[in-house]
Amino acid sequence: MTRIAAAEKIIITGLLLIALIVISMLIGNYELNFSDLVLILSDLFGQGLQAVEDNPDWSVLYYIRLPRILTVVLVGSALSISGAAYQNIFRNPLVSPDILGVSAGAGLGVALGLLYSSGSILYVYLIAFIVGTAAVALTYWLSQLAGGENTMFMVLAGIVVSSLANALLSLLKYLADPMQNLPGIVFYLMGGFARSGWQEFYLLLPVVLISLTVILFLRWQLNIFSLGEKEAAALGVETEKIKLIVIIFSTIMVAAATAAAGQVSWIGLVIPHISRFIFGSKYKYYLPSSALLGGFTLLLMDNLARTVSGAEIPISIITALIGAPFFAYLLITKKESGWS
Amino acid sequence: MLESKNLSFSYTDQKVLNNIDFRAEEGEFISILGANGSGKTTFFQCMQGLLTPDAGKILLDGENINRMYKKEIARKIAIVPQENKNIFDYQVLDMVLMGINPWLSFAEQPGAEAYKRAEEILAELEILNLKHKSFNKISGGERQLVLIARAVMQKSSILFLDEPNSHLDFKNTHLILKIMRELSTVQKTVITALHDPNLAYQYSDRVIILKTGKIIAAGPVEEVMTAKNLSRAYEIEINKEGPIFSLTFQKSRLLKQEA
Repeated sequence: MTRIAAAEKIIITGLLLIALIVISMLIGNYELNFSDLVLILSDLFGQGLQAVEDNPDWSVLYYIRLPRILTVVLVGSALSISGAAYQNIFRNPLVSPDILGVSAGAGLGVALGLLYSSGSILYVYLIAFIVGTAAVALTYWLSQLAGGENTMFMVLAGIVVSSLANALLSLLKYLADPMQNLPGIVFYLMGGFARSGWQEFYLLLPVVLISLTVILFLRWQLNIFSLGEKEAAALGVETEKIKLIVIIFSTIMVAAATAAAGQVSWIGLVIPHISRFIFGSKYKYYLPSSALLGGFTLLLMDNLARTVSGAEIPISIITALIGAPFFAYLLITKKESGWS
Repeated sequence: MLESKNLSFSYTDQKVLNNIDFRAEEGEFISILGANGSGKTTFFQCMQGLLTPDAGKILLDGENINRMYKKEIARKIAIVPQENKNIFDYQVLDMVLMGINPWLSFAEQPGAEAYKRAEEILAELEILNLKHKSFNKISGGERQLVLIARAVMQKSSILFLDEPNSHLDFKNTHLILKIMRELSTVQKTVITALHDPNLAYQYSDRVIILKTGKIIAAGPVEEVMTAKNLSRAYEIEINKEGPIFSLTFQKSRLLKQEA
């Protein structure tokens, strides 16, 4: 693949994402078609906000659909970027945010936040981040105790920490008031964007933008990192430092995404794969394409979640139902792409 | 210039290197010989600053290598690993470009000049036609050449090769060693671990023989590479006929039983 071709593919993906965002704005119980959208926009830009404020079309678009759509795109991007980053850092194409215990830790944090923080969304984010980071730190520490630099120990330690976090989460659910608190925790963690408003979006936006920028800055070194830590060190990469920075920023993103949307599985594993397959391994293209493709795919799935049945289906059910078989298909057919 | 003084290293309870004094001068081609498990790889990793010795010091241009930044070391030492496929595939040109990394600042990307140089190096090694090929899909010999190109890109004065011919055929083995030999004549120091004494004999200026973590012989090829020294290193009788070393095994017990 030549350089220009990859860049062109990224632009096409970006355009597809924009198109999907527009289409998604027209999907839902409240009927809106494309001409309504054009009308609203022309009123807005022609006559200002007063002209559309009282229009119910505007309320649906601006207060309900748009923040939800943008939050979905951000969560999808965040999970894919962190998955892509983890895969290079651990030189393992089967690694995802779930592997390091981040998802489980952040989920536990969300449950703690919902139970003990009087419902303030900011606290939920904060506790999710703290427990998520603690989970990664524990994973890292355990793997250092067990095997030092060996990546396999990190993956195994992640499984240990995930189990621990999930057990604690089950304990919290067991102890929670079955009428008052339990349904809230369960539905929150199953994932969904029904509650997503501008607040969620504005909390996520800086987290994703900053993390994406940091990781993009390190893209060249991350390329080299995938050759293995020893080889990267021999090429002058400060491996410990890079590893730490990338893990921290990836974890922040996963924690924020989990706090915003619950545990959305599979996206962080499957999207980096697809994007590596289409755009190649080079981070310059691989990272932006993962972000775009992650947003695109999750938005597609969220549209399914809110239209397939009368009641909304939790997003993690959809991502797993589509993601798992798709990954199985990749495993069987794409042995060549470097992950055997 | 790279040297070790009283270098010792052990993994938990096993001493792998014992009191090694070593010195590599500019423009030398040095081969390290020794049986499997004699400590060659550990010695290499210590000398490259990847492992910290238990005792003794490693000096790179007079500076303690374990106190240097990885980038500083990488500007002076390049490592040509054994060729192997990557987990994530890259183009040949990108693999070569990675060699410029020690000369880039923290978040810098390689610029147009680096691209140009990478292509020049590929052309010099006569593999420019591979530049857009996928690294995982070219042959083992070609991959090894690409890794050498990357090391040249690094502009370092010392080159390490750990058994460079382990996956290579007869022609490629000699091609790689010939190129390394040529590099050593342009003020680069080449240090290589080799399994085959005949290759070491043919290409090196100086040979060091390791046995159970100690140097048992070191010096110019003609002095050190005697049948006696090699017999001691590999614990089997080795003969020298002309410039060729050979050995004879007794018939294995399996065959004796069959008879």
